[in-house]
Amino acid sequence: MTNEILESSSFRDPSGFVFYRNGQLYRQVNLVYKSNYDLFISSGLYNELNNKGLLLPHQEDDIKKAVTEDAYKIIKPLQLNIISYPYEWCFSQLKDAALLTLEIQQIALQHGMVLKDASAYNIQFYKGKPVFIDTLSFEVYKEGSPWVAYRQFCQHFLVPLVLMKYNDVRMNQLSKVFLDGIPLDFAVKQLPTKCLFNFALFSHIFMHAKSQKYFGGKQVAKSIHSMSKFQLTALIDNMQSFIVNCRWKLKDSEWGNYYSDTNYSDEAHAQKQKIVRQFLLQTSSGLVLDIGGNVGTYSRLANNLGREAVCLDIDPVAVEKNYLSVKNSDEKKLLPLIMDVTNPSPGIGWGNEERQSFFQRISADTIIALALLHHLAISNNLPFQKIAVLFRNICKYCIIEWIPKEDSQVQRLLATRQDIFTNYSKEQFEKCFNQQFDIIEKVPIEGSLRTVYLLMVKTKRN
Amino acid sequence: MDKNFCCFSVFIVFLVAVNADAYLDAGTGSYFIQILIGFVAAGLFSLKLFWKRIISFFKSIGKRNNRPK
Repeated sequence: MTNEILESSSFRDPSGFVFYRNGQLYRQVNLVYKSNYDLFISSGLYNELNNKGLLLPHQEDDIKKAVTEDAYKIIKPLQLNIISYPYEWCFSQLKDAALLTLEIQQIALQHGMVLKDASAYNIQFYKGKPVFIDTLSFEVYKEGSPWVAYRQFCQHFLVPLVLMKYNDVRMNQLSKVFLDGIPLDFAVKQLPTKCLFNFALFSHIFMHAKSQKYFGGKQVAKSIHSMSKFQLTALIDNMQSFIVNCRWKLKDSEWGNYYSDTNYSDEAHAQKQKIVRQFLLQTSSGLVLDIGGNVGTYSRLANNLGREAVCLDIDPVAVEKNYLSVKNSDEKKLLPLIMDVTNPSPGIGWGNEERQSFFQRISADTIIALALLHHLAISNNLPFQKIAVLFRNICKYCIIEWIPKEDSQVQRLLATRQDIFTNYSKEQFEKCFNQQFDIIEKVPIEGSLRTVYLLMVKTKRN
Repeated sequence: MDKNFCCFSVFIVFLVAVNADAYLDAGTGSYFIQILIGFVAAGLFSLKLFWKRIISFFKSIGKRNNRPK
């Protein structure tokens, strides 16, 4: 009896598919892809991409693990424990993913191959850097053929980047609505006129949209093909040059200067870090999920203890700053992501299963929720019970900060609204969280009205 | 722009084949426009390569002159 589970997003490409067996991820390469796979290995393309750290490495596994009879190979890629999606990335993450895709395309061309798709979902972040994960995306290059994935690249990478730069950085959220990338005709309506004077934007987006509109639904006879390898290389080079120089200026945001705009003294901040560090030492060794982690100060505390961390924040500016720090310092254990925890990424695509919801993808050992509770309970009217239940479902330990109503940050939230939060008290907080968690320890932060708690999920009773 | 674009597109139609082997729909419009852009980009790319050669030529002369005698 087989016990494999097919990956719900792996159905579009007949070259193969991804499946899970005993909790491990495998990829079946189908016979139909044999010639492409063999060239991918024999041409040295796999080795070059692997040696440069651009592709997720894999090992060939036992063919007996095949799920269907048309299997040619079974490969076992390096196992990733964090999967993120483009609408959770900041500007520079998307930019680096785009440049990686184009670099791989150029290298593939040198080996007589080409990328047959350019989906942003083929990129994941591993050890702080983007890597290409779809081993079956390469096909033999046919002399004269244009790039089959050109439209997809523009819609998945170029358009979101340009919209983030020229319109609003939150435009990357549109990728959540348009599963196969943001349509070009939609994009041109959102871009300012000045974009027409940039050759790359004028051609790859404006003219491209016009061309799509003109040829839409038209039957075209197959005849003599005409796009030389040099022209294709030049096309990719043109997009590379544009994207390299496409920069988004960091602007001030509500949270971007959080750590210089608090009611904390330096001493209180140092003590809070000490408490969190002590609490982290009491938890086990798995993934740390830092919710509302801003620029990742506390995620890095976890990193310094050897723990891998995912730092979530609603603010694209904070996430951008965090990612640039990760990149500049070559940090390998921290992944910053844009996430509104009150409205986390849902399941999307076919049957709402093609792209999983955030909490389906993540399994944390420890949650850090500092300076967060008042935003959830007061700004979002969330009862403590609901917060406690969500947190218990996704972690074993929770390090959470209690902020009383008298705190100036809470007063700020209440300044423009009626105080309807009669249950917002330390007693209610402890009572509600105690239904889901055991309180292991609580330590007040000296020089403030706040308290940090270490909680452990109550063991399930029969 | 529309009129010029149509004329050029009609011209391109006679030069180009649409390869339908791929599992992705490349889109006819996307095929045509990238051939057009590729044509222009190839010119720019040639200039870029030529410029790089000039730079590396002068750099190599500079290095040769700076070599200790």
